[in-house]
Amino acid sequence: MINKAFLQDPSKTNILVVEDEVIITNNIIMTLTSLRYKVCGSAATGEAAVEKAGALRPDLVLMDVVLRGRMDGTEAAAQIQKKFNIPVVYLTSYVDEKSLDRTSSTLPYGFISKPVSSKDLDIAIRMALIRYGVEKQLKESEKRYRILTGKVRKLSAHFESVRENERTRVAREIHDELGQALTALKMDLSWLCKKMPDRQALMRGKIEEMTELTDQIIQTVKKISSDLRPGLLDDLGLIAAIEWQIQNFQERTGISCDVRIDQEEIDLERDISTALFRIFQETLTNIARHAKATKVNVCLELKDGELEMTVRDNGIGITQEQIDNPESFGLLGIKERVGFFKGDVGINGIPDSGTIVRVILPIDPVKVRQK
Amino acid sequence: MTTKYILKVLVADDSDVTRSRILTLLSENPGVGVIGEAKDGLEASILAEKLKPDIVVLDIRMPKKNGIETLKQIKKNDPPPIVIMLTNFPYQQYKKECEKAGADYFFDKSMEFNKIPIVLDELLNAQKAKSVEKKETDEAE
Repeated sequence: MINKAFLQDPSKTNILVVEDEVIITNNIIMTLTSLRYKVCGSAATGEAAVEKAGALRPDLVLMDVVLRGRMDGTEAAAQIQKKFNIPVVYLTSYVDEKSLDRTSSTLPYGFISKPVSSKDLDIAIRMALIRYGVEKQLKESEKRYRILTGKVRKLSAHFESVRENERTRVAREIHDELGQALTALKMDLSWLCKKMPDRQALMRGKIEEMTELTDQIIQTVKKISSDLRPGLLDDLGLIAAIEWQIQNFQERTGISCDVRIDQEEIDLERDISTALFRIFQETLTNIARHAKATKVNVCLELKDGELEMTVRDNGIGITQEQIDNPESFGLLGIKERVGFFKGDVGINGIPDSGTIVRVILPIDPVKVRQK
Repeated sequence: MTTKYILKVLVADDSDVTRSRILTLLSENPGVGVIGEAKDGLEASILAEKLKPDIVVLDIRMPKKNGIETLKQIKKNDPPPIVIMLTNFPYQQYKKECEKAGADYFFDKSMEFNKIPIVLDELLNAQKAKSVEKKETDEAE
């Protein structure tokens, strides 16, 4: 709520008058007093104005644009606004382009042309204070919003982390526990088959069937596990995982992929490695689902402490509508992840030509293995 | 006088269930003797140095020290044993890493375990041939 107390009672408002001609200063002070505003002080130079503003902390400063001395009104106003965040209303003898230009850089709260009338002064002061009040609320609102988005981002990253840990755990258990047991089963069946005399064709046939079934289950277990989280990512690194993912993608979709990676391997922190990998997966998923593409180009480059990953396809091209769609959580997820690591993402689509997704993340360059 | 050709093998795998079956598989060949078992990479490194096997069958995913690190360590021994990687992660990327680290063979545990007896036979025959050659050279002198 805007504090409108000053509107009811001008005596609650302290004003500093800055004007280098004494007669005008006195006139203004008299006018202000008749309007029942409080004048807490006056100054004749820019330097004095800044000093008094700091000492007295008025609610508003009336500032002549042109002042004698080294510092003019606009400079003094700029300093007062920057240091003390006090609104300044300019007094000017002539409204000309030059004066207006000089003052515009300081976010003026108003202009009053001299000679100053009582009505003009009152209106200008009230407007300036209302505006100042609104801006203050806006700034506070922005601050709360920034804090909130910061919290949301951290929460999002936390959930992401928890989810990945869960996936890693489950993927390992499925792969190791089930996988090992099934392999053991296969070994037993092989042993059984070897011990079976040749003439027992029926029995051997049955064992072979069981072996084939076991093979199928093993493949399924591997697929479920690697879909959850490929072991490569943790054991060998991001590049190995990306290469594996590309191969997998080619086999599943038939879309040919061209890869250009100029590093042999990069040792990244687990969180950032996972994020980049998941972004890559998401991008490929989008291509498979929407792009109608036949070719994909993947490029991974390390430049000046930044890792740049570009994925380009030759499909129908993503539209601005699709990019901006608030329901598109996949893209939102990518932006969030990238933002969390202080990186940048660009998504561009050209109709019938294709789409480019470019992700840039700052990384610690020490942890890189060159080819 | 017939010399018994025994290839000394060390088996490393963290799964008890798998390890016992690999042992059974190896024991089918009379020319092969299992001299040790390891449950993790650290144990495998220590035993490889102490027992000096001719062949080591190594899993990739093991606690304390993974298979690839263990492989590098074992290959530093003098003389370095032949290392057969037996793994549930038969991906190209792993194969490359293992070959770079000096692995002699890389087998998919669930699909290619029966290749191990074949490899052992080949190695045994090669050893026999070398021994016969040496005997003939000795006799000739």
